[in-house]
Amino acid sequence: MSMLALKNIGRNKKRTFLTALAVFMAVYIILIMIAFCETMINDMLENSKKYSTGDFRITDKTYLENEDLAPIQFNIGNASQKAEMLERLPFVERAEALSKIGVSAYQDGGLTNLTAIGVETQKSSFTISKGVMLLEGRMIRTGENGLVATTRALDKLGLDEGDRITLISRTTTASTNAVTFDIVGEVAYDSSEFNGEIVIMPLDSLSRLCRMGSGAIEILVHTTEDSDRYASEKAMHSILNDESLNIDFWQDKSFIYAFMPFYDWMYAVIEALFFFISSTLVFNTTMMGIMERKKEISAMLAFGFSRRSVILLFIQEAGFTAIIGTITACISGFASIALAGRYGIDLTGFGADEMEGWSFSNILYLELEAKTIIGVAAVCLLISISAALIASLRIRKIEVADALREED
Amino acid sequence: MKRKLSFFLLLLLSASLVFGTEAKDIVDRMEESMDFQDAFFHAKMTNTDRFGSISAEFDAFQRENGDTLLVVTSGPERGQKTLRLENDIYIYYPDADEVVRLSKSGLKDSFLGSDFSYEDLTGDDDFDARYDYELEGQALFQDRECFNLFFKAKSLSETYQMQRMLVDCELFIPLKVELYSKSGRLLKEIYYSDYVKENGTSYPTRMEVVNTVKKGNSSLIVLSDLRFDTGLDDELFSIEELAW
Repeated sequence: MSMLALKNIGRNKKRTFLTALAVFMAVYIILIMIAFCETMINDMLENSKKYSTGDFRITDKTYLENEDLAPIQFNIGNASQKAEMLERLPFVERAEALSKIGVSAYQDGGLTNLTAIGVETQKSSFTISKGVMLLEGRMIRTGENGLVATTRALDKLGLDEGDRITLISRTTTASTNAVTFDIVGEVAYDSSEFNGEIVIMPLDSLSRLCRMGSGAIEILVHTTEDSDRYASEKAMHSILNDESLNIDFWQDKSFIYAFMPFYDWMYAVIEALFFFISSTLVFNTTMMGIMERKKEISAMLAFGFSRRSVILLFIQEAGFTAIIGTITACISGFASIALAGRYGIDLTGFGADEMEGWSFSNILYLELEAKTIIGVAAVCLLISISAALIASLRIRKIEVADALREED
Repeated sequence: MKRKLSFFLLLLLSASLVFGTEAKDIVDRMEESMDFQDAFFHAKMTNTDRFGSISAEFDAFQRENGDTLLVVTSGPERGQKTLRLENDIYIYYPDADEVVRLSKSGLKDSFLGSDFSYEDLTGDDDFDARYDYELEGQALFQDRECFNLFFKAKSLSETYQMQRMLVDCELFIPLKVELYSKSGRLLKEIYYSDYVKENGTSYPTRMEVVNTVKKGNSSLIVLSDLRFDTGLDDELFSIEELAW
């Protein structure tokens, strides 16, 4: 029976090709879509951790309670020193003190709002991570009165690398201060969150601007993957020995993470939609095959084939065709994902860099686990065979005599 | 009936004329009592909000036309200078290459993080030019009989569109000012006290502003070393000199 099914597949190459193509398209699109969604969500979480929350975010308790008012007077004193202390813990890969503050750039009587980020230049994600793209000039150095700005900030200010800019900020005494900085470089980040109107400067320079001394608004702690949340928190509290500080786990602070259940639902709905489309395609092509081969089916029934064995034959035909489509789709999908994983998909043209607040990656380097590919292939095969089974059941209703009498 | 109505209208008109004339007279006498050619004083300012109190000290130089120079002499902002010329504010920050100019809208910005705006501390008080006003009656404030004056801005560009002022009936000095937005929302209350008289000029040495929008926020300025009509140098009030 299997041999007959294979023979039938080879007999009508056009029909086989079309059915296999439908399966191929469904599997291929689902694979690419899953890779795209998973990479995007993973990147959003990673970007959020890398630039905004760390694995743990340490802040002053009073600052945290009034974060909407940004009371910068409640900063972490001797922040760099505290970050160094944290780095002595075995599970801490890196601890960076930083401050993010709203400032205004002063130009000819006008003010332009910007976000200023003060960082420890030697170890900040904003200066050393592979997501940093230096477009012009050089990176900032500790102790200098220099800053790097994003392309959008420079465009808005009408300035270039090498120019000078006066920034005005609120100070820890609720007054204002202004300092003039050299623009030493133009940067871009892999996260849409940080490609807006942003300037990055050494932490000591920002502290001088807002009169924060040796303080910083937060310390981001990046830990090893196997570290335990509660044990880590306890160890950090113990080494800092400062009741005024608050330690938050990234999942509790991440805006993106809070949306994960929603993403999962959205993701499931989209996947279900694609699976439905693929099953419809398989169902339709199988159904068309049956309608087209009504006489052939009737002849087989007249020659003594049981209806059950004819149904089985058609299911086998659909199964083999689905296997061909699925395997070629898996190979093509894997190759495409590997290629996109190596060279990346530039999303800036689609406005990804405009989506502030969501930590979208501007360039997506697709990745997908082998088990997901196998899972998608298995589900698609199952759906294809189920669709073929439902379509093949029509064979039960074929009237042999009528079908044989029908003209072509 | 007609005669009664005419009499009532006449009474109303006379009352408004009397109150109008009286209000003008009160404001003139108040301006006269506080009039000077130029003034200098040293001030200690304490700002209080929900997070605590912060103090700063500054010197102030003022001319009759409202031009004012404020120089911060202590605290983290030491060296910062603020110059008001007409409706512009120029701020010199020691670490900035250029003098920062704030246009008229900047007048309502806070001075050194206090609840006093630049408008509150600088500029002239020529009420006739800037406000329409009327006498609303009299009130007792801190055991002093006061005139209750209501001011309405002539121009929409005024920082405070309405003011209500209690002026001491005997000394013709303001004791309390309520400042309102255009919608009639009370923004601030300023209390003036501990007046001194120097060269014939009365001036409060204690000014407290209570922010009625941000509950718990207030600022207190205590003045010392007041000097009037000493002939301040014009160069003090030049933008070029601000950075020196």
